[in-house]
Amino acid sequence: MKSWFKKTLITGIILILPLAVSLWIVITVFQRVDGIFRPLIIKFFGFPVPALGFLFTFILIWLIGIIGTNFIGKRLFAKLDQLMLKVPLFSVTYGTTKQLIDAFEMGQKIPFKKVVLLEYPRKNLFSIAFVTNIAQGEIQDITPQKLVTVFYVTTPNPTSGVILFVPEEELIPLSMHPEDALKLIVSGGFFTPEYPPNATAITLPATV
Amino acid sequence: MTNIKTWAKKTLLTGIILILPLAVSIWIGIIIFHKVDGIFRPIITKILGYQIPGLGFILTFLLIWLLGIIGTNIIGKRLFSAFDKFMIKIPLISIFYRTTKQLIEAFKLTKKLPFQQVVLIEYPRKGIFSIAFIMNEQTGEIQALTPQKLISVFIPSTPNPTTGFLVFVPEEDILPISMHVDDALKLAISGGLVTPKNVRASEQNIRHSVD
Repeated sequence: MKSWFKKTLITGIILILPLAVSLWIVITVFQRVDGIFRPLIIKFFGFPVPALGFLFTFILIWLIGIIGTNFIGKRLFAKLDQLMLKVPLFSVTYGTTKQLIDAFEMGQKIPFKKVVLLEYPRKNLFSIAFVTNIAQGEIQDITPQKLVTVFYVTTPNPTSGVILFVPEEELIPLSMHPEDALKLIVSGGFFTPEYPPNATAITLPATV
Repeated sequence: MTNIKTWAKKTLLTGIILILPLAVSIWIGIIIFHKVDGIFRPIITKILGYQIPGLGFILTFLLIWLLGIIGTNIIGKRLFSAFDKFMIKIPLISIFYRTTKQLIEAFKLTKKLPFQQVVLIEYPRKGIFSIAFIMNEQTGEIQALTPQKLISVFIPSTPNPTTGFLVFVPEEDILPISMHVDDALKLAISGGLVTPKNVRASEQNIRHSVD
C-alpha cells in the first residue's frame, strides 16, 4: 500500500513536471512583457486588457526594426546615440550596452555555437565549455599561443560561469549540438546526446 | 556591570542558537506550503468567494496523485504518450516541454541515483582535494574522444550547494569515501566547520569493541 502510494505519487510528479515547467516559463515571459504597458493600458481604458500589452510591445519593437533598417531611420538612431551619450550617468549604461551589442553584431556569429572539451582545471580532468570568441587585443598580444575565449558554465544553472582563454591546440572540438551540451550540463551528466549523431540506439543509458 | 553585559550577551546568543534550527525549518516549510497552496488559490477564491488556506495544497497533492494512478496503468500510459505527441507539436511550448521531458527520462532510465556516493578528487589541481558527488558514467561523444573511462562528478560550491561544476574524471583518479551524502553537504555548507565522524573508523571501533 505504501509503495503503491509512493510509486503513483512519483509517477504523477514525473507526468506533470514537463507541462508545469513549460507553462511556467511561457506564462512568466508573457506576464513580464505584457506588464510593460499594463499601467498605461489601465490608465487609458480603466481596466486591464490581458495580452494587449504583449501585442503592443511586439508591434512597437517590430516598428522600430522597420524604421531602423532604412536609410533615414539609421540616421535617426545614430543621432539618438549621440544624444544619449551626452546625458551624464545614463551615458555609462547606454554606452556599455551599445558596445556589448556591437561586439556581438560585428562578430556576425552567435557565441555558444561551438562546444569543446578541455582539460580544466587540470590535466586529466575534463570539462565542457562553449567557444565564445577568438582572443583579441592585449590578451592575444602578450601571449605567444593563439588563444580562444571559452565560457565554462556552472551546473545545474548555466547562467553563470567562468571565462577562460585557452590555447587553440588544447581544445578538443565536440560535434554535439550546443543545446544538447546544455542539457548534459543541466542534468549533471545524465542526459547523454546521441553519438554518432543521427545514429539510432546508441544512446542507451549507462547502467552504472 | 560588565558581568551583566556578558551574561546578557551569552544568553542572547544561546537563545539565537536554540531558536535558529526551528526558525529555519518552519520558514522553509511555510514557503513551500505557500507556493504549492498558491497554485489553486485564484480558482478557489473564484469558486467559493473566499480563501481556504490548505485547500490548494491538498488539491495539488490529490491531482498529482490521481495523475500518477492514471499514468501507471496501460490506458493511462497510452493517453499520456498521446498527450506528449500533442504537446511537441505546439510551437514555443514544445521546446521547454521536450527539454524537460528528456531530462526526466535521462534520470528515470538510470538505475543508480545521482548524489548517492561521495568521493574525493584532486581538484582543481594535483595535491588539492575537493569533495564531489558521483553523477553518472559517461557515454557518447565525450567517452569516445578520450582513452580513459570517465565518470561525471558534481563539485558543489560553498555555502550554496545548488550550484557547482560538472567535471569528467577518469575512474582511477576517484577516491571513494564512506561519508554520507547529507554529511558531505553539511561539510560543504558549513565551509568545513561541521566535520562528520569517520564512518569507516567508527564501524571498525564498534567491531573491535564487539570482539
